[in-house]
Amino acid sequence: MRRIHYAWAIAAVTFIALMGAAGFRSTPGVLIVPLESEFGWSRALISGAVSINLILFGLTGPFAAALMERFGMRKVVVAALALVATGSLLTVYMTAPWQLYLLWGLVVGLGTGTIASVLAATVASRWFVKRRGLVLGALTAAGATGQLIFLPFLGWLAQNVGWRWSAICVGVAAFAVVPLVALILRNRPADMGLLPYGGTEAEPVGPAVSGGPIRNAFRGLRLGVRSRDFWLLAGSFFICGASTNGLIGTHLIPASMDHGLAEVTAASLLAVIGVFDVIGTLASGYLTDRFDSRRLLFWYYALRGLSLLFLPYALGSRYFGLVLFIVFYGLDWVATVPPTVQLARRVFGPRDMPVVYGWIFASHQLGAASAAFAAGAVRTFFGDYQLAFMSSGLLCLVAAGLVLRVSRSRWEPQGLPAPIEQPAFS
Amino acid sequence: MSRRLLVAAVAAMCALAPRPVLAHAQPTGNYPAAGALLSSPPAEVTVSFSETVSPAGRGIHVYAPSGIEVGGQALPKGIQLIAPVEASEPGTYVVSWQVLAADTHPSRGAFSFSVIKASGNRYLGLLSGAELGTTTPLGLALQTLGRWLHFAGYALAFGGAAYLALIRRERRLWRLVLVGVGLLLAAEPVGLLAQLVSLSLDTDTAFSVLASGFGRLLALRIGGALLLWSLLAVESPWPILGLGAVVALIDGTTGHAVSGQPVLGQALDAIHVAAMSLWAGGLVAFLLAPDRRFGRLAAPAAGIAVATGLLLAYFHDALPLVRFLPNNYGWAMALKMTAVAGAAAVAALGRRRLEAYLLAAVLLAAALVVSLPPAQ
Repeated sequence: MRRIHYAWAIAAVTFIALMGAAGFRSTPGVLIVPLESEFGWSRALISGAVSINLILFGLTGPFAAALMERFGMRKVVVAALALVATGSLLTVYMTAPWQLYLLWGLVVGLGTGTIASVLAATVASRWFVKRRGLVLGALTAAGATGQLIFLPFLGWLAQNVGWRWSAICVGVAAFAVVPLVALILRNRPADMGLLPYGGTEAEPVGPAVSGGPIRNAFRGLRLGVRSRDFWLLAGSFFICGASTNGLIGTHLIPASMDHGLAEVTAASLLAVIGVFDVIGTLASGYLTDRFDSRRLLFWYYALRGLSLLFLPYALGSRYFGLVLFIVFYGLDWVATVPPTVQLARRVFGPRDMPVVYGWIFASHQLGAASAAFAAGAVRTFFGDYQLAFMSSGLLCLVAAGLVLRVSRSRWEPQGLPAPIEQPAFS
Repeated sequence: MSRRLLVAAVAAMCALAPRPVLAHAQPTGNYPAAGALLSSPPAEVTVSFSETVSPAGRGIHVYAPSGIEVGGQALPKGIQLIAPVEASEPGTYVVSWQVLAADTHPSRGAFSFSVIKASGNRYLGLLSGAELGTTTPLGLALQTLGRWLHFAGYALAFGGAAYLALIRRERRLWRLVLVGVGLLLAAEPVGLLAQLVSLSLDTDTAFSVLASGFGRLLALRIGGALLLWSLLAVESPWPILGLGAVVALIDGTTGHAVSGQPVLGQALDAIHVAAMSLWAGGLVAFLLAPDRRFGRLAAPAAGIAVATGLLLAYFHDALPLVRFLPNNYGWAMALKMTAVAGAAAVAALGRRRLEAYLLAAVLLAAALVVSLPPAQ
């Protein structure tokens, strides 16, 4: 009987940690109203803390990757979980706004930012050769799953029992994951005398990076900005963030309400997106193992762009068109992550990929933040979202062109392990 | 045999097709009538059109004798545009309207009426502005330029791709496709500017034009050009040709509509544009990388372009050209037909470079034809 490869245990524990982190990160959303009513803080003040949380979530990636390189994944993830738990539990004693900024904004933001896309990319890259895309897809979908499971529950707690119980719940859950991670998570297959799942030989990692983690994070940035492929990937990921979290995540509900949909119906649209997101991301992971990542990304971005161009027509038609849009958009939501990570690994190699991908992911979050702001401004000045939807659609088509131009000289299939250089026969 | 079939099909289509022409919305009447002297203030101002329209911005502006605006937001009702008006002040009122037709062509116009007595009005100048059909000369020039850039870009991109696919794979021909993409992208801002100049250059109008069907088509056309640019990375002409067919269909929706037969009109328009660009773009590709087999692409493309062009002219009731010659539309049509005949003649003589210049003139004339309101 064949034993199950240890890589799957690693993937499972990472999945749980990622699911939790996504849930914790979305908690401030349900806390806005209760905090407003208990302390009398303004919405702008509370949103400020949420913004800090979001910015840190995006910017922590490269530094977290460098830390994992230096101290190992296990220590870093345990420390991040402890940060989340501490920050969350301490909010119970909060009395002043600066404490909210410090705890939810800084401490929880740093903690959850560490347990994010970069962790998924690192685990899949180190532990899997076969089915790497599928694992990436599953780990990426963990985020959406976490929000789908935790958000309604934490919201219910905050509304019916009190917001402190939501915070306590997050803190306890984060502590509960710590032993799991400490017992099971391992840095590399080689540490346990194993090969990566489906790997035929230990991958040459290259000389370990020396120097402090912060220096290494910036070394990754320098490495990136000098490469044309980095700009192509970061640019397309910026557009990805802008067209998902930034535009649709923030503005679909108000836009549908502009067109006469009830708020409950409109909000359920986003939940539907979440469900199809899980399906789509898994499917994308599966496809990433089989097809050229550039072609996959081209289709994802092109179809997303076209569906945004047709959204103004769909909003006019109310039901059928809108439902079609939602299902399709959900499938395409973060489906871009597995092929993008795969491409980054191909271009920058297994050693440097996590840090460089951290910066690419930061560009994703930057895109989300700018689009959320820009679409709101467009709505305010124009009285209509059509222009925002159409320009995002056009940006997605630009992204479709960018990804096809990544490492143009090499056109062999991507899912397979990199071909070994053949020595020239004389 | 197949030729006889074609003739029969064409004859059947001609027999089935309805006659009246639709395109740029033409005003058919208004209330109060132009120049009317009313004894009591009207509650609303109405402009009727030859087809359904949507207001651009306010749609109708009503200026009181004192110069202030007294009209409300105009709303379409059937083929009418109605705006509420507060006209208690005695004197002459000036009404100016601006609308978009279903095929996104802009129209505007102005008239005046008086309540109780005639008076001066500082907006009376709007009545005597230089107008060409229902637009301004500058607006018309820009519309023509925008469409010419679009046609030329389309021809270079898709004609070039067809040449690559069917005649000859030569690396430098990809440059031609790229130039085509550039022209397609450049055409859109010019088209938008033309739309604004044809209506009025203010932010209110700009927003409503972008939020209208014109804005959506603008986005679709830019989208087509961007996708085309994306596909250039793959360096295979076939996906580009497929995309070209789609862009031609999108273009069909902005051609002059064939009344009662929207699908027929669009399809004919799409085939016409596609065939023409294979001819013109293929010719430029031929000049860059000559190949004897070019005739295989050019002859059928030219034949289809001419046949569909004649059919479209027939449906738009523009074949008996003499009737329209006093009209600008008639002149543009005559110019286009002459240039096509000239191009075909020099093609027969083998003067390819001259043929290319003549085809550029054909595209320019075509751009003018679609920008002008058809003959009444």
